[in-house]
Amino acid sequence: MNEDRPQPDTVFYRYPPRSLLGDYLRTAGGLALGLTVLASSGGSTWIVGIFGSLVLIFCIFGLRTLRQQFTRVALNGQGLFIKVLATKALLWEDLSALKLRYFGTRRERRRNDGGFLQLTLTGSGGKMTFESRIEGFADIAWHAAKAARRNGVALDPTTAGNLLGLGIHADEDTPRPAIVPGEGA
Amino acid sequence: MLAYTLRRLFVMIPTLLVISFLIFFIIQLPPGDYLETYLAELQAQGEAVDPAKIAFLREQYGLDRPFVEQYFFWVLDLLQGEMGYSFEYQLPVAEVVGDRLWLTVVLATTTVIFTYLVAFPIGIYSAVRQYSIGDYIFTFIGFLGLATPNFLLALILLYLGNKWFGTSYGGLFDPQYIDQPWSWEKVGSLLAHLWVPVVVIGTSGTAGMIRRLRANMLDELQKQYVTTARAKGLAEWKVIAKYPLRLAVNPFIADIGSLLPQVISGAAIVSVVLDLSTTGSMLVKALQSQDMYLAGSFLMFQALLVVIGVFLSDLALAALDPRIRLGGGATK
Repeated sequence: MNEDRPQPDTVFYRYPPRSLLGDYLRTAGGLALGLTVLASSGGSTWIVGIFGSLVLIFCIFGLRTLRQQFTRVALNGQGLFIKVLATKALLWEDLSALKLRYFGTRRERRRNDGGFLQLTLTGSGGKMTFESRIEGFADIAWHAAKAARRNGVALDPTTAGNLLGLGIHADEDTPRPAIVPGEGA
Repeated sequence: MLAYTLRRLFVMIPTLLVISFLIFFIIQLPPGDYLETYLAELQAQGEAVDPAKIAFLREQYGLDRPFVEQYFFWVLDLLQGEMGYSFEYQLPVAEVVGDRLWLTVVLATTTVIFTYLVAFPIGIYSAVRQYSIGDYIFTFIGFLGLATPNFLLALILLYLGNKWFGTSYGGLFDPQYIDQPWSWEKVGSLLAHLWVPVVVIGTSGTAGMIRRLRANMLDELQKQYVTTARAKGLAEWKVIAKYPLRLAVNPFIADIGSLLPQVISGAAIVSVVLDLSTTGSMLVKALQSQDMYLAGSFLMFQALLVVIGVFLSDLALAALDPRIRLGGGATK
């Protein structure tokens, strides 16, 4: 949390594989259930419709999780670079929108525990979305908030409030969060 | 949002499996089974019963199998859209149930819509015009609605309908449309009868919602940002609609999940009083006679409605209020 501590110029982040395990299990569970029912349905139209959609949805979810596993993020003062199959870049000077949203069930909200944050950054090269389980999530959000302030990007109250939840003030400089590889926000 | 929706959707699967196990377990808890109840009834009527026939029926219905095996086959059948066999009616459950499941959905959905349509404007009015005559009247009606049991309200409406209009509002259709195929006339008859159960079942929920929305709105209206907005000269309706209402409405949205079970459980007794062709009255009979597959299918269907209701309310809440609480944290 100390600003005058020497920071590496470029830092690299990824989704810790352990954090993706739950989503892989969900995918496997959803596919197993859907395929079992489809295999034993005997071709009933509405069963095929409902469980076929379920299988398709969990396939998309599995592919999305796989994509997260292979995502590598490089972050420095110039911008943010993502590599999955190809490399995509978002320069901080091009940042035009920043959205930070929280998703949690009623119980998670009530208990003040659980759920996840989603950071969406928009630049000239398109959109980038990160979930809070990525390593260095707070660091990415800190850089993005700084760039948004510099570029005069207006933040909605929800985003400003959620940034504050991460210890980042939208309107003034706050110390850069400590870089702890292997941990999400 | 997609990731959240799918994760939330996945939670529904184990939830429904646990519910199905509990339902099956609880239905089997009373000593004996349907055949023993049937046997006792026949003996009470002085009729002779062939034990071999009972043993044959027990084997035929799978009642001689272990509990876990019975449960496994029931769930597997449910997943394939087969709801099992009703012992009492000697028919597949799907045939016994007929339109009842969909009529229950129609009744529950209409009641929820009615609840929201009535509670929303009244709750806002009561908060914005706190301690006005209108607020007192609505508060009084609200308390009355909360304190009056649904079945009593049903009886009062039936009596008044009969006394003033000389007609019975019992049932969901006029007698000539019962067991007839669907037609526009039958839909018209349904709509003409639907308002009574909707009002009866929806009243207590509406009253509760009015109280909650009023309290939430009052909390928000007393905050400093409202005073600031007024001081800046913002139009009153804009002050109310833009921020306090949006924040006050969150618990209102979150209530969809708890409203559905309330509506469905309230409907069970009311359906007996009003002679509604929904699942309620048949469920009560099925539970009394231990017709386990019929009762289990009804309960699973109602559980599915509730789980879907909670899922929808979670989605709506995530879309309407994507804020993290300060001091809390996202853990994933």
